[in-house]
Amino acid sequence: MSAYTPRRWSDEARPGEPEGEAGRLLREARALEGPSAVGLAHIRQRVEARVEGGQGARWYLLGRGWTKKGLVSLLAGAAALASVGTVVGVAVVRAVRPKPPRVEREAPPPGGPAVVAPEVEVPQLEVPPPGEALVPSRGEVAPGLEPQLEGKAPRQRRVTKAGSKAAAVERAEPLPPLPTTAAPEANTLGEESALLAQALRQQRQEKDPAAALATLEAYRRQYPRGALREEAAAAELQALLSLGRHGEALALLERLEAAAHGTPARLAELRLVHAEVLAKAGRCGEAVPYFDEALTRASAGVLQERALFGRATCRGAQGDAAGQRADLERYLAAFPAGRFAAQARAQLGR
Amino acid sequence: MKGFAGPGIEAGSTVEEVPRKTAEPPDFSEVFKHYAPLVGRWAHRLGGPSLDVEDVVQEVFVRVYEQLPRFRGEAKLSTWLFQITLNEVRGRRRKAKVLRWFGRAEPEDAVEEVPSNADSPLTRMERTQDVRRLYQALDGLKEKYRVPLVLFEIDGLSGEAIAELLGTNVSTVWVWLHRGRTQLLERLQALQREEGAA
Repeated sequence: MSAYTPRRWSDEARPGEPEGEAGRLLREARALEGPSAVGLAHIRQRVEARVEGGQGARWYLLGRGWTKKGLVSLLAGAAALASVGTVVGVAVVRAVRPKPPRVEREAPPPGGPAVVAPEVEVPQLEVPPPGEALVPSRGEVAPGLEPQLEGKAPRQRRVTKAGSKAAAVERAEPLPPLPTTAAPEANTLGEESALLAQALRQQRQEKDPAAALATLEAYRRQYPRGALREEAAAAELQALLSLGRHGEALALLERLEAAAHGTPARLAELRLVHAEVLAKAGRCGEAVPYFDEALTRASAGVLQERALFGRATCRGAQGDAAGQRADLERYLAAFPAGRFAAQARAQLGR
Repeated sequence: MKGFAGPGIEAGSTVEEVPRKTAEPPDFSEVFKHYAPLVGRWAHRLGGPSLDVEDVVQEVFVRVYEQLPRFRGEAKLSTWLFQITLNEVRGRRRKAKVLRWFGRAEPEDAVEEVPSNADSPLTRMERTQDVRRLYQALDGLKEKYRVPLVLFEIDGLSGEAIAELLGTNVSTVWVWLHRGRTQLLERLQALQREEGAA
């Protein structure tokens, strides 16, 4: 055992000091937990589906990371190499002729397979090139300022969780453009980013949500189909909530939800936020169905956790003691050490 | 460990091991049952809020399934699992960097919900932003500084436990921690300046 142990910044409140601020952020990060019990059960099912008796297992016998897609790519690569071999053979034959062609200039066979690497080789970049920041990507527009819902491009969802190695390969390839987004030029992205950053600064640093809202309205007029419109919508939601304009926030949420069909994870989160906003506005009767839907749709543990506890609270507010109790017990069974566990136990009188 | 009766971590503790009675490789079901929550938490905290944690846990346990029959206990099971998790997270972060380099979103839309016990959506959003800001700063640290920092400050592990997971000695852990914290402060301050200048 070492005699020396440094103090943990994350355990100490030292307001006003740089270490104190870092400690506060580190403490906040303790909220990052692993998947819920439900999520783990799903993961286990997927793992077993892959490794037990399924094709996934057989593909995997070929080596780590060799998925069916990888093998197909390998075969395509082999076919391509065979084609190249043929070309080389022809070249050798032609070499005896007076004017031998240069093999590397041989055109590939028409329609023949390209030489395909069996798996995408990912460059080992540790530090992005200096130009990176010039073209802000989604979710990187205003470092540290993004609201919770922004940065969520509609999920370019993998086909299935199973076979995710193949999915990883797919993800490593350039993703197709968002279906409803006009491809913006880099300089447009920069302008959009600047406008959004201004709104977020007004919201967070200047504590002026009305100004932020005005900026965001300007953004919307200027870039109705902008690449960052989802980020802008999330920031607008945040501003509306800050101003207590719950009705408009709910209307905005409905628009976002309508646009999120086809992206179940995002829709689940939006439904949950909708429920929470309704609950905060004291409209628990309307909130409960949204909590229900969020619970049905959400796979992420944190969403499940929020939805369960939120619904329990709302049911309690509606006088549905049995429903509240059932939700709290279900919550504690799934999240015995969850963020609301102490409150749940207290409400259950434990 | 919170919410988990198996191996876990309390502040300042080491990683508990499931006792093994024989030299035979452990049973996969038992390993999953006892370690999957821990692997999930490691992954989330090492990779940050943008990581697809469920996908990482899945990949880790596919590897565990493949390699478990060959596990003979040369290392502690938790150490072995941590290394697999760290490798998987490292791969994901690398791919995310490449995607960012190409101006694309992080894979899988990246933004997992950051939990919070706040009682309003707005406060939740702010906490989410705080955690993102932290990981934005942590992202710039070398892995050998970032990992001990995360394990010590966020996961609450002791120096001895971190040393064991990383295969080094405690003194080295403290050196890395010190450097990591220094760099973290610098990066947070730089971020603050950028935000102020934006």
